[in-house]
Amino acid sequence: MKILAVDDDPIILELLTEVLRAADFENVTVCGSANEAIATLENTTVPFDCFLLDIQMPDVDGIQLTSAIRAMPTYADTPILMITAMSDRSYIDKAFEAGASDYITKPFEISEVHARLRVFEALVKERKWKEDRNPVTPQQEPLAMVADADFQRRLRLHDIDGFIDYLALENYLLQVPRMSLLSMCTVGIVVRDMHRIFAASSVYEYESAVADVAEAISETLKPQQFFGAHAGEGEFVCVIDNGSGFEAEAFERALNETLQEMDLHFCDGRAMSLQTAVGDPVSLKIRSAKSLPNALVQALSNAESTARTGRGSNTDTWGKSALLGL
Amino acid sequence: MTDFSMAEGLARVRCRFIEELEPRRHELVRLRDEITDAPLVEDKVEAIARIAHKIAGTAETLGFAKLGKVAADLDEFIDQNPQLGVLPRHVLFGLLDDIVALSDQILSVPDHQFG
Repeated sequence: MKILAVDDDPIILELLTEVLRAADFENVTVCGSANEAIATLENTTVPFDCFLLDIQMPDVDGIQLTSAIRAMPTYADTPILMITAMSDRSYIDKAFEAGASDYITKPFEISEVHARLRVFEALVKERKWKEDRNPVTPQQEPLAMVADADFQRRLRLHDIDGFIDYLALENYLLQVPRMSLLSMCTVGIVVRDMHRIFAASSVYEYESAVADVAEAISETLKPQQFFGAHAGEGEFVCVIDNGSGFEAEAFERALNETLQEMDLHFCDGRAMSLQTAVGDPVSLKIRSAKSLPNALVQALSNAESTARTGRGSNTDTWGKSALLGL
Repeated sequence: MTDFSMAEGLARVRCRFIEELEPRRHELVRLRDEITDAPLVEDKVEAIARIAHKIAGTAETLGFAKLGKVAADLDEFIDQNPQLGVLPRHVLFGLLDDIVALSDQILSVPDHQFG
């Protein structure tokens, strides 16, 4: 895995080099500033597979650098690990908003850095394997019909306000200070009859529809502070701040109205009617760190239940599973 | 890579940290002296925060937990006070003095004892 580490402290760069070498990550390039990193990216022929970035740096900081890296098509999906002393919630939010995949606070445990990089390494290998097996050319893409693999894939929706990768959303939950979690909840959203709706779609139409639903979610949730992610198929999950008063039924109504106003169509002019089901929220208070990612799964399960049987049938709403330590 | 070669690598970085600690300590003392009987000038307080931030980033991982903790406290104290000109002096100087004292302790130990 080819790694680029950026920090204005040379001691950190030396330490990271040793830490990475200890885990057999030998291909490491280091830069002392964001500008040096951007110049390195512009001049490199073999793209980097992973970035380790500090936040607090003079001139251009690590959050601005993250945005700049994400704006480069080559690095739209490349894992970015923030390694920073900034543990304040506002920095964590800004980093994930800019496109960070994960976040570690200094001083760090060496084993923690190794563990995060192993996750990224597996991700990078999987992506390369898929690309090698199933190369997609831009000319083929609009004509191809949606296959199961396309349908299950979690799409990257960085261009939509509040939307980040699913993996980044899991990592975000693990980084948010415990006090902030007290007022947060997760909410799942499912597009009803998604298989039927997308059965006749091309990959392009399917991906556009997913982006349209995400856009509608983002618009409807505003001005509430949230992060959302596509969870594959027609499913979405959001982490909502100050979500203790969140009303799923009212949100579902508003979201479906927004989608109707968007007046969506297939490429051949047929109307595309998208209806969503919103599950009851899952509170994040009283959750152990290990069970936090389960709150996303639970929210999706609630949404699926609402889509199947209607509202009020969910078995787990505010915290039963949390009390059981799930 | 073996645990032994990783330990060797970390020992090298620890030596570099100590080398770098000496000028950082001097700079902190210089800045402290400059603001002792003068108004708290923002760029001097920011310079103190930058040094504390750097020390805090690596000290604990390299085995200097106490120094790392005090440096992180100073960094956070400055970061969370938007009005640098009116920082409580006794807190600022207390944390600065602790960093200088802990740095002196580390710098007084012969090099080979860290390697």
